[in-house]
Order: sequence, then structure tokens, then C-alpha cells
Amino acid sequence: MTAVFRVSLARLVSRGATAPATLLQAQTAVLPTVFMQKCNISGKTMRGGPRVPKAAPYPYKTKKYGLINSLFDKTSKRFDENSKVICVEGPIAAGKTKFAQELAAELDMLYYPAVDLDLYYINPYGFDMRKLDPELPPSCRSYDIRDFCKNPNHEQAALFQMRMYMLRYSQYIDALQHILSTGQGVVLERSPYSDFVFMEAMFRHGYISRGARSVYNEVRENTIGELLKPHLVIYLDLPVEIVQRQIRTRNVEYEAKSKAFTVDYLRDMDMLYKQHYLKEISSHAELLIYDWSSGGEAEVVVEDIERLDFQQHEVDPHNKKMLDWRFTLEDEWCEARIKYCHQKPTLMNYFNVPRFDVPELVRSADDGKVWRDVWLNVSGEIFVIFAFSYPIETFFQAPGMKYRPGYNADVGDSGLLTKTKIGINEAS
Amino acid sequence: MSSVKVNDPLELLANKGNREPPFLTAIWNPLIGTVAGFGVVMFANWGFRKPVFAGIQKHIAFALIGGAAGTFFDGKRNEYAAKRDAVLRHYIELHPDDFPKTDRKKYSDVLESWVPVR
Repeated sequence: MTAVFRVSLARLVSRGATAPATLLQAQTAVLPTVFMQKCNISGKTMRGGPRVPKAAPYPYKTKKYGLINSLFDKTSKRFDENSKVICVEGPIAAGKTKFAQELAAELDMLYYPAVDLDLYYINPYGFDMRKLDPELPPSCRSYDIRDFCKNPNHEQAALFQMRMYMLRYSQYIDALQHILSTGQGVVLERSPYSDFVFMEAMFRHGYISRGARSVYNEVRENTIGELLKPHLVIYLDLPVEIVQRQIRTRNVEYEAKSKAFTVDYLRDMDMLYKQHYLKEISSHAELLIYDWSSGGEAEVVVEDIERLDFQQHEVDPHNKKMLDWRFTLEDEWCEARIKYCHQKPTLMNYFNVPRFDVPELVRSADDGKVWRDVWLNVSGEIFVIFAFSYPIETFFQAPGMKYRPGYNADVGDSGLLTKTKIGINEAS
Repeated sequence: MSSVKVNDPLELLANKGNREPPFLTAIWNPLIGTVAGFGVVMFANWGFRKPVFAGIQKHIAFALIGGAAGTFFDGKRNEYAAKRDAVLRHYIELHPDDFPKTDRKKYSDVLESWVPVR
């Protein structure tokens, strides 16, 4: 019935239209369909020059972007065909870093290096908090990738993986801030979406308990849905034997001598990557897989990327591909941008899942008190008030930890008497 | 001035100017407001992990706001008390029968002489 109505309506509407008088007119009328513009990612070489931003980038690291700002500064005006999130994935020592850097340079995108617990342990003034370990109880001492490679069965392995996920999540939000505020694309090395591969491999080899895995999954479920999935995932594929050889060739001491990276572990990682991660993400993102056994050229990959038609998924609004990036109204773009640029602390709060049933992820109150006193050196402040009745504890104080970043006179922050700035997105 | 002293209900509610209020009374509310304003900023700084005196302009602004609020509420309270007294005085003036002037008695007139009985 609807079809009948539609046909008659079409006839009714087109009744007044006249046939083109000349051949030229007929051709120009057809032109737009023949030379339909395609919006593909383009490299520097293909474009013949650097990227020209459509609008000046927003200083999102120093300037707040809230509701009021969103009324005056719209979001999608900065977007072009290269405003895409690309994740480079692959096994250990596959050559991701070099490849991702080359890719970012060629596509004029911003490269985000792989996260490391250094981001957590080195404070904003460059002091390494791992130096405080001797003063801390065992449950609060540092445990990073070196420690994991040396002793994967340590009880802090679960906490280590939670922190890795948290850092990847935080970095991904930073990347979204960048793309929404500047329109420049981003290239990330691994992502919060693939982090579960490591957790699952660790669980299968008994490095983390079933309870810790359950907490991880609960936290992941609570947080991952807030992000926008990548547009493109590039997987550098290497057989396990070659991964082992690469690890030996790269010869980073803790990796090469690692107890954790056994053949079984690497094989599990490979399987989880392919069977779970790639399968899952390919429903949303475009996927390119390369055999990287003997390395490869970023240029070749760029050529393949240039052939990908991202626009084709926009025809059907129910298509699951690129669904996260399908905002119909300008307001929705601005809302998303406010969420990542202004409400990052709220998003990071979603990690506070109240699970107290896994002992290796819960710190005792006494240990927590010691950690707080040593790490933030706060107790001195309270003791000063009672200086006459209590002895002031004299332990080593980490520089730049007593106050929030930017407010520590002991490491050279100045002008504190009149300073009120908190900083929007500078401190990670 | 009559030799017989009487209790005049109207006079009880009048300001006879024979009582000096303590020094703190006049400045108490503005003072508390100022201290609270200053303290709130210190507390907020502590909560944000800043040095407590960082951003001294905020302390000054909030102290001024606190002081102004104290003065304002002081005035409001005085206004309220004055109005209440005026209403009572007016009521007494309208109902003189209900509020007769009574002779002022001393305790010597009321109490009987004490005779100890052992």
C-alpha cells in the first residue's frame, strides 16, 4: 500500500519537471553521480602536501570545553576524511612502534606511544616513585613490566594488569580529546579494547586468579562502553616462533630473559588476539591484517588504507560498522566532546567498582596508611600542629608529591600566593 | 520624677540608654562571617591538595563576602527585634486596661520579718 502511494507521489511531484533541452544539460545533471566525491583517508604523498586544518585547533589541554563553550565552538567543522582513530595491534616485539610512527607521519596523524607503568610511577616532576619502595610494606611496593617478566607469579600481577588497562583507557580518552578538538587523526599502539588479551593470557597461565579476572571483567564492562571504538585496526601478524626470535633480537633484558613469555603464553596471546579481539572489533572497525614476519613497509599499508571506503557504511543507519561515530546532530558531537574533554575525571571514576572479595586487589588499612604517609608525605603536616607533644617522623620525602602538580614550591613551582589554576587536561 | 515608683509596661520596652552593650556584640556577626569566609577557602585548598594560603585573592574575596553577610544578618536581626518591640508597645498602647501601671514593690514590702524559732 505504501509503495503504491510512493509511486503516485513521485509521479505527482515530478510532473512539472521538464526533460533536459540539450545533451550538455543532461550530462551536467548526471555529473554529480558519475564523479561522486569519495572521502577516504589520504596520505601526505597522495595529497601532495601536509594536512591543512579546516579550522584552528582548540587548545583543549589548557582551555575548558563545557556547555557554554559548546554554544560558540562547534565540533564537526574540524573533521575531515583523516579524522580517524587507528589502532596498531600485534604481538610483543612485532615492530609496532616503528610502524605506527611511520604511519602517523605519513597520514599526518598524532602518534600515541604504548603505555607503560612509568606513566604511573614517575611523578609530574620526573621523580621515580619506585625509589620509595624500601619504606613501603610489600603490598604497596612497585610492580611494573620488569617485575612481571621476572616474577609473573607475584600477587601484584593482577593489580599490574588493572593499572595497564587504566592507563590505556586514560590514553584513549586523551586521543579522543585530540581528535574531537583538533580534527587530526590519531594512531594508537594497542588500546583498552585489546587489553583483555593480556589479562586472559595471564589468567590461563595462573598469573592472576579467577577472582581477579572477574573483577577485571566487571571493571571493563563498567568502563569500556563509554569510549568510541576505533575506525581502523591494523594487526601485524607474526607466528609464535618468529615472535620469540624477535624478542631475542630486540634483546631488551627483561623481555629476553622473561619467565612469563613462554611459547604457550605467546601462543595463547596469539589465539586470543585472533579469535576474540579481532573477531569482536571487526564488527565495528575496518580491519587490516599483515604478515609482518619479515617486517614491512608502512607505505604499502598506507596505500591499502587509502583504498578503504569509510563512507560506504554511512548509507545504512543500522549498519554496525562505525556506529559509535554516527552522530546525527551537531549537539551530539559537542556532547561527546564535552564528555571526553571536560568530564574525564567522571569517566575515570567508573573504575571504582566496589569489589572487596579478591585479597590481592584490596590493600589493608594499615598498609594504606603507610603508603599514604610515604607516597603523599601528608602526615608531617598533621604532626607539626602537635609538634610539642609528638616527635616529627623524619622519613625521606618525595619531591613534588606534597601538593597537587603545579603547587609544589620544593620543586620550583612559583607564584603560589596568587595561583588558583587547577589545570584542565595537562596532568595525566 | 515622682517619689512613688511605678512599673510602667511601656517603659519596660523602651530603650532607656542606661545599658552599655559588651564590646563584642557589635562586631560578633561580621567577625564570624569574615573568619568563616577565610576558613572555607583554606579548607577548599586543603581538599584540592593545594597549600592552604595559595590564591590569596580568593581568601580576601571570601572574607569580604563573609563580613558583608555578617553585617547584613546583624542588621536584619536588629530590625526584627525593633519591629517586635514596636508591635508590643503598640499593643500595650491600644489596650491600656490590660496593662495597668503597678506600684513597684521592694522585697522589704513583700517579705515578712524573719523570726527564728528554735
